[in-house]
Amino acid sequence: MNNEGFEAVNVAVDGNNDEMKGKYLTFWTDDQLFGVPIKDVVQIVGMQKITQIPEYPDYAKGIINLRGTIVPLIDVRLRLGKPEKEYNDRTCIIVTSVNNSYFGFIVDEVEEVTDISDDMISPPPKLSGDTVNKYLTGIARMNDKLVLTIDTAKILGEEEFDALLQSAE
Amino acid sequence: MKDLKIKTRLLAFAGGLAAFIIILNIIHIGVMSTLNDSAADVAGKWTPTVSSAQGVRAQASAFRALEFQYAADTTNSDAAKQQMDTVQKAVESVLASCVAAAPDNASKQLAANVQSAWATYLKTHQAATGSASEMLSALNGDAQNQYTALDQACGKLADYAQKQASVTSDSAAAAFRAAQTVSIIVTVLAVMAVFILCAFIYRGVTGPVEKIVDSAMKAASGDFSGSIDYTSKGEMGPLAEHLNKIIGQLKTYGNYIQEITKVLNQMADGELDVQLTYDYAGVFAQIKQALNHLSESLNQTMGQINAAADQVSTNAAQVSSGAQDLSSGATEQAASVEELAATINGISDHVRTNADSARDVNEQVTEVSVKLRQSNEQMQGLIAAMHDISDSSSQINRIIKTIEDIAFQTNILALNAAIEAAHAGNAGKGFAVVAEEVRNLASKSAEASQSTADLIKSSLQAVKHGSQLADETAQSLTSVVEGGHQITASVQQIAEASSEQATSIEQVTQGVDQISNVIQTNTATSEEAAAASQELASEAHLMKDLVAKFKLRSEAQDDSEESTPVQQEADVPEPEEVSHPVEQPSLPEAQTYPENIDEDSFEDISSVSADVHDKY
Repeated sequence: MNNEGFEAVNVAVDGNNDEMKGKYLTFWTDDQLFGVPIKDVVQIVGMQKITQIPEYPDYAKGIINLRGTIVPLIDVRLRLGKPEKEYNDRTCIIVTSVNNSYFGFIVDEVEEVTDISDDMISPPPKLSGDTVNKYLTGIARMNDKLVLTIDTAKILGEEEFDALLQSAE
Repeated sequence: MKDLKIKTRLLAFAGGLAAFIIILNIIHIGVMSTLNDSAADVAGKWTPTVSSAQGVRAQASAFRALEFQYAADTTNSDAAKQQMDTVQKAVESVLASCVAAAPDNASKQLAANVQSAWATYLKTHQAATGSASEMLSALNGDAQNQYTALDQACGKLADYAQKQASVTSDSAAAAFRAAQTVSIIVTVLAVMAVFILCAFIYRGVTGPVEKIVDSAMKAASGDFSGSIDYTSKGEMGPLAEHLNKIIGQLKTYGNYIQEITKVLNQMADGELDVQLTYDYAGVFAQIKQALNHLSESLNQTMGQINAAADQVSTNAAQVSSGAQDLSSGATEQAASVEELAATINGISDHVRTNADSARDVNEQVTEVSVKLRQSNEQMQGLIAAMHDISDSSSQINRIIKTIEDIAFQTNILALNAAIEAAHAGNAGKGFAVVAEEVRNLASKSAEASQSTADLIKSSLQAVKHGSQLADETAQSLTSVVEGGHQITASVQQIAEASSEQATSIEQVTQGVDQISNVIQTNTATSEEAAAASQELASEAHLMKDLVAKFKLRSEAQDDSEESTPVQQEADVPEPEEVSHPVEQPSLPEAQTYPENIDEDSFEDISSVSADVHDKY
């Protein structure tokens, strides 16, 4: 992959929202299957050397240099309040583009690119004051598996998002 | 005469004989002195005269021969003269002795004649000594006659002396003849007297001796009836008297002997109840006592022999039965020992088979040990091969890891492609299908590599398990090899032990053979003992029969008391040594015999077995 690829992705994100609707990239974290909309996903990369940044929250592991672009990394496990796990060769970084900013999500394992129609998605259970509801958009049943669909933008709070973005810049 | 003692008679006989000898000797001495005188006359008087007369004649003849020599040979006239002087001196000396020795007047006269004739002749000779011719003429002249006269005178003297000697000799012979006659007469008388005296002495001694000899011969032949009818104060009188006393005593002894003979005959016939009635004197009192003692002793001894014969018979029967039992037992023993020998032979065969088997096992175990060592080496090769497999598997694992990485990368690439295709919208639909296919391939590749990895993992585990098993098997094989060595050693020991057992069993077989021989000897001995005891029983019966022939005193007096074989009588003194065996029977009781025999035989057997045990 190269810079031209990024540009193409950006073009595609801009112009084919309808085509990308209903497509999700599923991944495993803490034995739970999550799905992110494919329009947010830029690229999947393997684990790379992480440069740690001081005064970051725990779940923000640091930054990587992805072909000249600084990408801040969020450990989904820590962000979701799960126990930390040592990275292995299955660990992947899903590079997303939120509001034209790149973020990398560290997940246990990437599953597949699949189609999840809206009728397969149930709304998440309502629990008052639950922060999870901010980024959990629904629960999809796929055959015998349950996929938790999440909002990529909401998985980060507003403050975190800005802080991270600033530090990345 | 009859009362003269033999000594006196012998003295008288010796004295008469001595008187005769003395008379005879006196006569002899007288005659012998006469003979001696005559012999002295002849030897001392007449014989020298005869010899000297003849000496004168011989010397004169020699003188005359010298004169002739002188006359014939003038060359040696001096020597002839000297010789003539010597001969002249010899003639004169002989002539002088002849004159001196002349015993009577007649002979002296004749000697003087000779002397004068010699003087005449010498005178003529001395006159003619001047020369040889003179001498020769003288010799042929006067000297011739003178010499003849001298010679005749000498012959007369010699004849006279000879004649006188023969007269003396004749008188001596007459005296000898007279003495011879007297001697013969006296000797005849003496011999006659000796015979008469001998007859006298003989008659005095032999008369009573013949009587005594007759009586003594009768007594010696056992006839004590006669007595010697002879009395004398000499030596024979008391002899006859004492001999009569002896014969009388012998007669009494004959009565003793008759009674003793009768009693002994009774005893010989078995009648032991006898007594002597005479009052025995002297040594016969001892005989009576001894005979009564003998009767008592025989009574007791026969009674004891009877009882002993009973016991011997009983015991011999028991010994016989015991010996037969022993014999049958020994036979059973022999059979058992033969079975034992057969069994031992079987054991010996088994042991030999065992030894052979142990040897075979030893060889086989040795082969097995070699094979086990080979197996161990092969197992080590197996373990090395396992290690190789493990190494190869690790390499395969790494390769699979690489494949998995590639599959993962491919998967991510396919996902990225799918993302790109989604971003491309409708234009990317075909690309999305290709990406999906690539992702599927990557997924299958990952699955295949995963399954391969699983397989390799299980293979590795299997190899690891196999290695462990191979190690354990190698250790087991090592211990098996060691066990095989131990088995070899043990089997070796078993083989040696079997060999020793075989040797020992051979010795046991020999020992059993010896036992068998001993038992055969025992069997023979016990059979002999049985036969001997049966013979003993029959001998005891025979002895009892023999003893039953004797009529014992106790049986004669009291038949019911058989336990006391002899009853002592009051007048017979009881010797202690006779009653002693009755009070304490020397024979042991009947039950003790078989026990003794059994114990002895057991001791024999045990000693034999002990010997056998010592040998092995």
